[in-house]
Amino acid sequence: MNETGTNEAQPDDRAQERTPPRGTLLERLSSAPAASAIGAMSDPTKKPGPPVDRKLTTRRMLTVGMLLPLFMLFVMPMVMTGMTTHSSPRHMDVAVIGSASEADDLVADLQDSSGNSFDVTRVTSIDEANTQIAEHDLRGAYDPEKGVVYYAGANGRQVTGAVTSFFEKVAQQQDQKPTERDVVPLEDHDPSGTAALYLSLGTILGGFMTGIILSLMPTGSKARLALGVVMPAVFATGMIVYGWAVFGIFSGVAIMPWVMLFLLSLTACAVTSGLMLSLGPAAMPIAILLIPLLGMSSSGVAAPLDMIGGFYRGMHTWVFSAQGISGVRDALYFDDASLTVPVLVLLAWMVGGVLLAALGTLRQKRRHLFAMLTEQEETSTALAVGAAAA
Amino acid sequence: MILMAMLFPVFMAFAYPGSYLSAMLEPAPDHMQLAVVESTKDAPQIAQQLQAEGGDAVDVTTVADTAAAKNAVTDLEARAAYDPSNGSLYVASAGGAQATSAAQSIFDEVAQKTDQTLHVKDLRGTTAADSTGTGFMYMLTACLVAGYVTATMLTSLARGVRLPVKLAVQLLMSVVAGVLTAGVCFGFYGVYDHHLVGAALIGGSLFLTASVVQLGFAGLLGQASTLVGITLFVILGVPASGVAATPDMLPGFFRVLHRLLPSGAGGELLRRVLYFDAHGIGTWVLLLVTWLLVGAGLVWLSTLRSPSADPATSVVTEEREHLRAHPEGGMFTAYDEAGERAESSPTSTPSDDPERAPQAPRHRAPEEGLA
Repeated sequence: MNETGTNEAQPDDRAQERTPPRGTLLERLSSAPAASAIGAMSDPTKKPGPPVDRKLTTRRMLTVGMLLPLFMLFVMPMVMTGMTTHSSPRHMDVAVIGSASEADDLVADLQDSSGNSFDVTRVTSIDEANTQIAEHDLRGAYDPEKGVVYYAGANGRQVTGAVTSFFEKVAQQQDQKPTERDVVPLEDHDPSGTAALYLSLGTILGGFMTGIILSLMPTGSKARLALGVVMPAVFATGMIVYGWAVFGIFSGVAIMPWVMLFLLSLTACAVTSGLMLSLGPAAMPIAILLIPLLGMSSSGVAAPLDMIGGFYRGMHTWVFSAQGISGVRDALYFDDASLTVPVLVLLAWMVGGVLLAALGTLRQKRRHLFAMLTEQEETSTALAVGAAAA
Repeated sequence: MILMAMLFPVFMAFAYPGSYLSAMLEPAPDHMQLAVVESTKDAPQIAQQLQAEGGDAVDVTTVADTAAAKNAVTDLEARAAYDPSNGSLYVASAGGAQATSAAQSIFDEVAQKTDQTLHVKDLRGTTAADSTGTGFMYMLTACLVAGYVTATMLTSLARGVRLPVKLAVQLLMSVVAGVLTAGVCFGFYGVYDHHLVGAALIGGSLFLTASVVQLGFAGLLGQASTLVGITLFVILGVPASGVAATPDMLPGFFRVLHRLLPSGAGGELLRRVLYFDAHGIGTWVLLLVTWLLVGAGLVWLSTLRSPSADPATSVVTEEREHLRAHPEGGMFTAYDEAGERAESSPTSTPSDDPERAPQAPRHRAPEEGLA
């Protein structure tokens, strides 16, 4: 305790505390205190500052603390509301089945009449149409000879509604009584097709929170690495138990869904840890935006990408959480759809997260973390970040 | 320590999907209010038969005429009303697209049995931009979550700040919450073009309620309040809001929560103000005000804790320690522990750490304020 009534150490004491240990570079780094997200904000190599003004510090911390709710108030409705509004088909890929020139005429008519809502092409057979629907190349197809509409119910109610109502009008114009064939139906206990989203959300939040806690607590890299792998496995297994046993939604083989859920959780954990260890708690808004918000909104599972704004389609291409959620949905329902892209995107982000975490750890170890933070700042910031992340 | 901390992500990972799947996996009518217009002699019989076949899924009543049927639908007292004389079905899709669709399916079967063609008349449709009828969902969620986060930040980062200042910050932030969220919904996305002030007021009120309640929990429960707040406002609160799935499509447990939680009040208030001319908002305003008062009560209770208590610990921990230190003392008696320490230790003074060893007794004089 110094004369100003704070807990700041005197400069002489600091100098003694910061005397570096002897040995090789690796030995010196390993003997340095463990890295953490809070430590990312400090630089003990700097000279000690003047005594702390407690009131001003509190005011500054309070001001910074209000930035997170302000971020939530603005970014959450901005990102998520766009997913629920102005929902209508936008260049939705559909096809007419047939080889005759009549089919080509119908394709041309439909393309003209639908404008930008549907992109209509022709496929030669029902099998080809079904294959393309199962592989996400088409949302639906119509056989004008028999008046049958083919679609994938697993794409969700909005897509199903858009496709069937579009072709039902065509059938009525041709005096056909339309019938519907669901090529990829939903499970009976998942009539809305939202189970994939909720199970993914569990693993994402688990991985995200694990990343936050592992980076906030100054712990060794080995423990961090071990828990960073074990916890996602626990979350993925738990979600499989939810989906197969507790809620009884699915009954098939659960290996691929487990792999996708595990990769999703692992990547969420790695990216969160990497961002937090390299940028400190300032990374939390970035992680919140990137992982749950953009992940949910641009996954194509909560809202079909060809029925909402182009921004979400752009995000879907490279945001790992979005790719991961749609990958989980495909692993659950679309056996024929390729999982190569989601897996590659997840792996790329995971490697990036691990590299960021390693760089952040090395940077902090080099600087001997915590020397510049007061006890009050350390505890308060860690508690606030942990609680707010929830 | 770190293994204990891992319990928190485990809770989050399992509680979120557990709650959401329980509430919204298989939405189905449960005590859905339906009406049959007494326009034919068979109308009461149709209503009785529908009730018998529907069981707990529906609550069927009869209404005297078409005007009463329309009123029941637009006042959200009935999900749909069927006129057996001409096959008209009156609905309000802005009250919930999924529920309206379910009601339509029910009456489609009724119409087929009575050789009628169903003519659906939507008395309150959604705006063109709000095709799913859930455009205000994230306005509500953002206000609840940000309110909770604000209280958490005030508790963790502003420990030395006096309570009136914290409340003032919450009030200011609630104004910002209303303006920002309504600005995004109305201004940026243009989802709605009416009732801007009403929606902003509801958003701000939701924020303030969540924030004050969470501040009270934090003062009493310490770190454990994080779990209470997140459970109350998000894990249970969002599914029980009745926006993504309307109350008559939710399981019984969540329907009860809908009538009890602030999120339920928020969902109903926003829907009724935006689409139903604010009809029937009294009950829901009362619910929100009740929560605000509960929050104020919790905050008041938290000021009765010993000023020397660590804000990270709960009131239970504090009382346990207090009883250990003063086994002969009364249950409500406060002691000037700082003074005692000062007497027993001549080297330390209470001014050493004003937060942990304050001069003030447990019950302070009113003029000192609620610091």
